[in-house]
This record gives sequence, structure tokens and C-alpha cells, in this order.
Amino acid sequence: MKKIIVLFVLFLIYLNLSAEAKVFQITIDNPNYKPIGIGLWGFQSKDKSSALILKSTIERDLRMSGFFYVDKTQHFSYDAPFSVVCGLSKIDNLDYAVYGNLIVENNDSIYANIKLVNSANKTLMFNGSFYSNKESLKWLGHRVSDKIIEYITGVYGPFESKIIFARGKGKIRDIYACDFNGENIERLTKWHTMNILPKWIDKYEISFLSYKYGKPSLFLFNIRTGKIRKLFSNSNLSISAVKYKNNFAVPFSKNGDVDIYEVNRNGRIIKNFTHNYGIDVSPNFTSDYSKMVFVSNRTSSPQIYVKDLSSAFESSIRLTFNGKYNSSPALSPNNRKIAYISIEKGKTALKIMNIDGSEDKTVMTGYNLDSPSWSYDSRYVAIEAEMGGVRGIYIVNTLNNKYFLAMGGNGMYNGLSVSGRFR
Amino acid sequence: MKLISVLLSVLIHLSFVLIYLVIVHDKPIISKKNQNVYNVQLISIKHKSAKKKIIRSKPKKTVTKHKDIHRKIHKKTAIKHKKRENKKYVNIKKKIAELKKKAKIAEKKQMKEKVLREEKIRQKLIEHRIEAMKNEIAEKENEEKTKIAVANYSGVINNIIKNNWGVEKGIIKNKQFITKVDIKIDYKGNIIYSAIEKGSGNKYVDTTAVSAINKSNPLPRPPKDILDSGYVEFIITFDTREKE
Repeated sequence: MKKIIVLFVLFLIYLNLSAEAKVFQITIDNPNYKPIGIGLWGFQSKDKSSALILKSTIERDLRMSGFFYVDKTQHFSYDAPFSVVCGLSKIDNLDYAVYGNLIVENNDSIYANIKLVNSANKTLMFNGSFYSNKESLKWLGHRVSDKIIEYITGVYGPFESKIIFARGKGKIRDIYACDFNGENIERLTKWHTMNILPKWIDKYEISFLSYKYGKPSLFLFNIRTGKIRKLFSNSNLSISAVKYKNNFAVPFSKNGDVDIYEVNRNGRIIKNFTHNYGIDVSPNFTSDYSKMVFVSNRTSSPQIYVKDLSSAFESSIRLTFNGKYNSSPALSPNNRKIAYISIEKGKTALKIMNIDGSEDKTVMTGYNLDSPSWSYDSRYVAIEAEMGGVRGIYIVNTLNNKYFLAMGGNGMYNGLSVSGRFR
Repeated sequence: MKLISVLLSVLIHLSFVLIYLVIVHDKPIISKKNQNVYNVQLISIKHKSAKKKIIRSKPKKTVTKHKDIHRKIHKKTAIKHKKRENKKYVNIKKKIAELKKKAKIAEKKQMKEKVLREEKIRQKLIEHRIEAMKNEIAEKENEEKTKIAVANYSGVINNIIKNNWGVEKGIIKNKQFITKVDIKIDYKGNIIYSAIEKGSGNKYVDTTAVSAINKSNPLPRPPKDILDSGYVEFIITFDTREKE
């Protein structure tokens, strides 16, 4: 008993001494730039081809996100204890590691168990299952990638979306759709005519301009049912229709100059948004339809304007003042940023500014940049561009200005649009 | 005749009573010797002079044939008494003087002692102050040494950890995140303890801070001066702000 008391007293003294120990302060700032190291160590499965497809999709997504460098070296058995996985990823100088297993049932149903390890904290950040059929295996990969991006960066990834775009040669262009990372390309129109400027209207509906009947007309196309409907054919311009509440906003020339009008599903003009003698095109609306961003040449050169639609009076404010040609504005889904194309000295640039015109910055410079469109997370922009001689669709990370080719190929591109998130 | 003799005897008796009264009255004066010297003497002198007057005045009132004898007797006794009183007075004076001398000597002694004591106290105080100053200087020197050691070591580990700290700036954008990590380094330079003391609110940034600490382990040996119970503790603040 005495011994215990003595030990207890000594322990208290030790605690007291340790409490009085001096603590020194160090401050470290200006961190180095370092992409996030992530080990993508594959998935244990009897169906090795499916496991490889899943791995390559996740790898492509993570690389394209612009945040990660991916290490694919597999050092361990899938049954290795958690501590071994942490130790190995630490040795490889990786911050995180992804691994798991894939079960294929009846050659159709796929269950993927995914583990995300934080090697610095030695914690299992995520341990979850994903289910899909074999056809949608790549889509399952996008879901895994988006989840990983969310766990690490704090914002859900952009890969559960589709890009629609127009591509073709000569006088033939068709509308295509692909995943946000450029995979799974599908041709939507086979009309052997000029079909351009596609826009997502709703979850399964797109609009585009077609010369199917000789004269340019706007069409609505339901990608789920395959139904096509002519929307408007009173314009001789190459224009696209965008959604405005339950109707559409369409720019066309009515009385000599081009203004933006509200048109219903039957092609009837409801009202006009602009009343200016100049050319007003490329309308974009905030999600609550209180503001419209558009392009106008009312001050001689095309510039970007914003109009407050809640005001009864003409209340357009010019946003761009640098450069002689600023066009193709695209409002981010969070209504905060505008991506647009600026032409300077023969080169095109993708620029981003706040909705009030502040913090204008160049994100990407190249040739033939056009049709920027935001991803649903408001962090990425998909854009047509020719970079290093490769023409195609590029995904630009607007946070660190990194861009990746999502899809390249011969032919001309005429407009693209990124969908919202498909769940 | 008888009446005269009776009267004489009465007178004699009265005189004796008077003498007795005088003596009895003086006694307290003598008995007060041991008390405060100054008070006793002054009172007794005044009192006696007053008594003398009374004694002198009394024989004048009793003028008889036997007055002479009585006066003679009275004179004799008075003289004797005076002599005694004088002697006493002289003795008292002497004693007072002696006492005064003694008091003066004692006072002088006390003064000397006081001065000596004060001197000693002063010397002790000065010695104490000198020692305290010496201790202060030594402490300051030690503190300076420790400060220099801490500054040097902090600089070294700052560089190492900073080199190992990397952030994907696209994720943090222009925002400022501050993560505080508490680490303990043993005498060999091993990081024996590390924990996030205050997170930044961004898991990714916190992870980069922990990762930087892990990658920096082991650190160089810390100087002995800064060790406390065999280890040294640092709170490292990771600030994503880019300072010029």
C-alpha cells in the first residue's frame, strides 16, 4: 500500500514537472506547392479486366482533376493490415492511398468496396461500397473519384456529368455526348447536316441549332426518349437557346438589330430582355433568373454586360473593359463567376471574373478557345481549344489553372455544354 | 504648678508628636528613592522648605518661659534634621549624578551598539543585494543562452519542416488556414509526440501539416540548454498565407 502511495506521489510530481515544461513557438508560412500524392493500388477481383477498367477510370479522373499525382505501383497484398498500407504509402511519399476489391456477380452486377487511407494521420478516411451494373462500370469509377475528391479537397468531384458537343468535318457536324473526363463518347444526331451549338436545357433535354431544313432552326432533343422538336426558326443567325424559367431565351433579329427574347416551347415570342440598337447575344441567367449576363456591341466592340432583370428600367452594366473582343460568357452554377473568351493579339484566352466584374484573371491562353462551360461544382471549365497543336475539349481547373485534354480528334468543334450532376 | 507641668508635658508630647509627624511624613520621600529620581527629589525639597516654615512659625506662637529650652531642643533637632536632610540631599544628588552618568554611559553604549547593528545590517543588505544582482546576471546570461539556443534550433527545424510542407494551392485558393501542431522532441531528436493542437477547419491543410512533421522525423538533436525533463516541446503554427 505504501509503495502505491509513494508511486502515486512520484507520478503527481512528474505530472507537475511536466506541466511546467517550457513550450516554444515556431511559425511556418509560405507553403511550397505540392500536388497531392495518392497511391492507386488497384482492386482485388476475380474479374481482372473489370478491376483494370475501374482503376484506369479513377486514375484518369484523379489526374484530370488537376490536384493529384497518381502512383500506381502496387507493393502489398490486398489482405495486408491497415498499418502496413499506411507504412508503404508513407515510404512512397504519398499522402493518401486507395485500394479495395471488386465483386462481379452473374457477369453483370458489380460491387466495389473502396478504402481511402490517410497515410499522414494513419486513418481510414473512407470505407464504403458502390454498386453498379457492368455497363456502367466507368460511371461507378466516376462516383468513386468524386467521393475521393470530396474526402480530400472538401468539395464533391465533377465527374458525374456529361458534356455535349458538336463535331464534324466540312459541312457536316453532329451532336455528341461524353463523360466529363472525355470517355464514353456517343453520337446523338446522324443527319449529315450542320448541327451545332448544343446546350443543356434540362436533365435529359438539350437544344441545338440545325440546318436540317436548310434554314437555321433551333431544336429540342430529349436524349432519353430520342424525341426531337423544332423550337424556333425565325432567326438567320447561328445562335443557341438557353433555358429561362419554363421558356427559352433566344437572340434574333426582329427589327433590324439583334435583341434577346423570351420564347415559349411553341416558338412564340413572350417578351424581349434587351431593347438596344446594338447586337445582344449569348444570354446566361443566374439560377434564380434575377440577372442576365450577355454580350453586346453597343459600345462598338463586343463586351460582356450584366442586366438586373428585377428592374423595370434598362439597367445593363458593362463588366469587361480590357481587350477589344470579349465574348461567350458562362455563369458558374454558384452564380459567382463568369468565364469568358477574350481575344488579344491573335490569341484567345479563357478569363474568369466575379459576377460584378472584379478579380478578372486569365486562366488559359491558346488558339481557338471557345464555348466555355462550367462543371456543377463551379471549379472546372470545359472548353474547346487548340493547345500544342491538339484540337479538342479541355478540362480546366480554374483553381490552379491546370488543364487536361479530355477528348481530342480531327475535325471542327462548334460548341459544348456541361450537364448538371447525374445521380 | 502642677498645671504648668502638665501643660509642659503636653507641649513636649505635642512637640514629639510633631517631630514624629515630620519624620513619618518624610519617610515616603526616602522610600521613593528607588523610583524616578527627578520626581522624588523635587517634591521632597519643596515639601521640606514648606515644613521648615511651619516649624519656624510654630515656636513663635508658643512664647513661654520654657520656650527657649524648647527652641534650643527644637533648633538642635532641626539642625540635626537639616544636616541629615542635607546629607540625604547630597547623597541623592550624588546618586542622581551617578545615575545620570550611568544612564549617559548606557545611552552611549546603546548608541554604539545601535550604530554597530545598523552597520552590520547595512553590510548584510549590501551583500544580499550583490548576491541577488549576481544571481540575476547569471539568470539573464542563462536565459540569453537558452534564447540563443532555442532561436538557433527553431531555425533549423523550421527549415526542415518547411521543406517538407507542401500544399496543393488550388484547394486552398487565397484563403488563410492556420493549423497548430504540438510536438515533443527527445534528446536524440526523435519526435516522440505530435498532435494537432488547433485545426484549421480544412482537413486537407491539417493533413499536410501532420505529413510535414512525419516527414521531418527524426530532427537534429536539440541543445541540452533547452531540454526539460529530457525533451523539448514546440508548438508549430502552419500558416498557408503567402507573406512577401
